[in-house]
Amino acid sequence: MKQTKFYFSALMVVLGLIGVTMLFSVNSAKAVEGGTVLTGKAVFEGTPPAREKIRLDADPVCSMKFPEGLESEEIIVNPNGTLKNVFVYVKQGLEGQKFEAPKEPVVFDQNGCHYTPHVFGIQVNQPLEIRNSDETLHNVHALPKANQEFNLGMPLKGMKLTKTFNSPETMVKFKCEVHPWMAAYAGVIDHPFFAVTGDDGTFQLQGLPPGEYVVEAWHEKYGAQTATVKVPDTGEVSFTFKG
Amino acid sequence: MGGLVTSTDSGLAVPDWPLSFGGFLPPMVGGIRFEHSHRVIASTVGLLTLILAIWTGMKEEKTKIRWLAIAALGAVVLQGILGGLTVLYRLPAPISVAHACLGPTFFSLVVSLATVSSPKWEVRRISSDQGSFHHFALITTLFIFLQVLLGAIVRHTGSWILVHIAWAFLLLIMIGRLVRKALVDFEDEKEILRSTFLLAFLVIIEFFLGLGAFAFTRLVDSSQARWSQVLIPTLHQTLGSLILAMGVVLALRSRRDLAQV
Repeated sequence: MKQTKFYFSALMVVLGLIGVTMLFSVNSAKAVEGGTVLTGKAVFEGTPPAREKIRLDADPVCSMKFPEGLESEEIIVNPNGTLKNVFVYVKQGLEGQKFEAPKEPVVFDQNGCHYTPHVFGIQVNQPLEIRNSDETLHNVHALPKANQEFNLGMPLKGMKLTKTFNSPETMVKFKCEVHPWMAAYAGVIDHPFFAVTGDDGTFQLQGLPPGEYVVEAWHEKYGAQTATVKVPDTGEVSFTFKG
Repeated sequence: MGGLVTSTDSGLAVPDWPLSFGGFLPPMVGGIRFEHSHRVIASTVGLLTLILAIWTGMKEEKTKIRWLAIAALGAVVLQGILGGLTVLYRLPAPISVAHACLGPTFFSLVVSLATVSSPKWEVRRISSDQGSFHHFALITTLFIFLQVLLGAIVRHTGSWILVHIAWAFLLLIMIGRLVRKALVDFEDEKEILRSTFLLAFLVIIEFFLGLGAFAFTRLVDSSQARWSQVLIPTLHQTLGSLILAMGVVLALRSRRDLAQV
């Protein structure tokens, strides 16, 4: 595993040298009722790599749904030059505070032989509802380090399972060994201040109390970046940093 | 088949054991094709080994050969249990490594059984002072087994690759010396010479397959396993089993010759 990480890191260095960079910028922090809205975006610098084509012919149910195949979700550069599926969360600054986990579950679906969502956040002890919306069978294999690993068979369409994670952990990988192209990542956080960049590459962390925080942005290919953010009682703050 | 399961990362495609998704015949799609086929073939091998052990027990007069058949049966049963445990405990490295080593060991046991129970085994052969060759063949076989173990560690933990590569160079030197000894000690023994040359040839192929496996699995980054990333490591692993069995057979043959001097 260490070797794989080494070569992966080496590849990342090479990609960095040829000008492929993720810029994570926090645009503003505004005071709103009940806290502050911290906004920002993940900017992609360099030539967007072509999305790898995934062949689905290992399972006729998958290939019937997507005869042309799927495109890899590893690196999605939005038309506005931002990066999708970047997980942003407050890493430091909330120590000692307790936040109750929501009762409503995060829905994690296996639909069309890919995971929806591809990257998501969940609070510690918040239910994770895992669904199978496909006419084929999946195994959902979570590979956490701080939480309990599980590998469960979901052979029937409409099947639901509920799991929880008891410890904070970024990131937990999910994979399906039946369909090896399927992968997803969850950030398990002990507070509600996290977000995932979407089709416009932006994020919002709502209701953050004034203070100084370390914010981290994580991408499955480009790794993690952190920044220290001072959130005022009122007014705005804007800054950019490079990784 | 086990090599294909590892290469395609299908080991946990069927999350339950001994059943597969609660039944005997899950849909053969994706990774299930490899994992379930592996289980079906393993069960068939287990059944055939049971028949072989019973057959040998009934027909074979030599106690050592009967024990060899029982050892093969024990190995295949243990292999099945290790396979189940590796699924239920989600690929713990020590069990997966043991499973990967016991497969070639079982294969060597069965090949040994076939060799010593062959009618040709009884034929008296011309021999000379070849004791050191036998001992060297035995040590080389032990070193081959250790290389199989190192390969299994690399496959299932991703570590010790440099030790595995260094050991490969050591084995090349040992095989070279074995060939030289065979040419000196067994110059008139075509069977031993042929086996030694074949072993050397396979070790050289294995060396290059190992380089290929390293290149395709460690240096090529891909979100999807390409056929080269599946086939080359699988061939490398399979040839490793064959080389181990050939080493065992060569050690056995050179010992038989000694015994009949």
